[in-house]
Amino acid sequence: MKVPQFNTFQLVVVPLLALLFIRSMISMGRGLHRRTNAIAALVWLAAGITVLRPDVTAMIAKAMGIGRGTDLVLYFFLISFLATSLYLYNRVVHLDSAITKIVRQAALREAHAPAPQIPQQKSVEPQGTMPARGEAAPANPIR
Amino acid sequence: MKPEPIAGHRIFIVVAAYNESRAIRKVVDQVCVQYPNVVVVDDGSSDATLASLTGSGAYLLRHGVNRGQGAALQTGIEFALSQGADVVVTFDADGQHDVHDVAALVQPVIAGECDVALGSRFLGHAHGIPLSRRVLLKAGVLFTRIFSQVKVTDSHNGLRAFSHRAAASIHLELDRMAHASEILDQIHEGGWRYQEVPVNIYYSEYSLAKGQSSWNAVKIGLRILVKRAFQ
Repeated sequence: MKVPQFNTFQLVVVPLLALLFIRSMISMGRGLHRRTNAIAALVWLAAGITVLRPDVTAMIAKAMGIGRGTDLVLYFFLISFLATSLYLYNRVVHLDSAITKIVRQAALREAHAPAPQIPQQKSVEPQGTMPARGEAAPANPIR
Repeated sequence: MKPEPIAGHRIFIVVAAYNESRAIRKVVDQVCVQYPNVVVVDDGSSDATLASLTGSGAYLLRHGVNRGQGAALQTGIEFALSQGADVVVTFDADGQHDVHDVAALVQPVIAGECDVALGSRFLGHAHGIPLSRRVLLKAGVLFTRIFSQVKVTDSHNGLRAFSHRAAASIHLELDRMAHASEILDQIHEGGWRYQEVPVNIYYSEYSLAKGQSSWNAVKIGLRILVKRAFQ
């Protein structure tokens, strides 16, 4: 039996990927973010295989009609980068509008009625339609 | 020169303010003399904007975190409607507008001639407008003509009046000055009748410094296009 030859890159990266894989599997076993951890575990596993056996990607690439294994990985990353960007963009947009909603609700809830204006010319308008909210006319409405 | 139809209507003036402590009190005091219902939304200012309004005649609302002018206006509009506003007027905090223009602006809305009245400095007067700003605003108008169905002579004027119904239908989501285009789009989508009214804009060193830089304008345009692309 032939002793397998590992290059330095493989010696450094593979144990690291193995650790990450194990960590993801453990988290998944504990039921934490199951889906995310499952995807993460798959990614680490695929990365490990690719690093250990570069010919695997070359085989898949060839089967798919792409020139080299590196190109396959490149395309894969390009697509996942774009997909992630779009996903995150959407998340940010939603988060933004959620924050605005919360901030708006608080602003509306804590609105301060105008300070009573002392003798104005002809104050016809009934000022202070605001509910007094427990506190008397806010002489100093700003906290 | 107060046109009579204004009396008996609940006109609310909404002012969105972000770090405007130098100008806001004077603006609010001037507006309050003529219009008792003023709503100031402090959009998470880090300066003394809110403190400077202590004892003023305005309703004071505060965004705990800065959410942008569009969001602040939306908050103010919703508050005004909750207080029973018939007409909601948006008014800039930096002293560019003339409170005397509000009567003429509100008039067609009250008369039922339109749902939204939009101030135009190019139909009225833009006092002391620098050339660069004029070019920038004209570019904004051109941009709006291309990408929006609403044809106006001044697409980025903060002085506007909405009927109760039109105000209730507005839902601003874009921040910064992008909401100007958003308002026009929603006027179109809602099928609201709009009208432009000549108004004065007074440029000062202060208002120019607070205004948009050309680079910001480019970013705003891009953001609007991105939003369109994803809809």
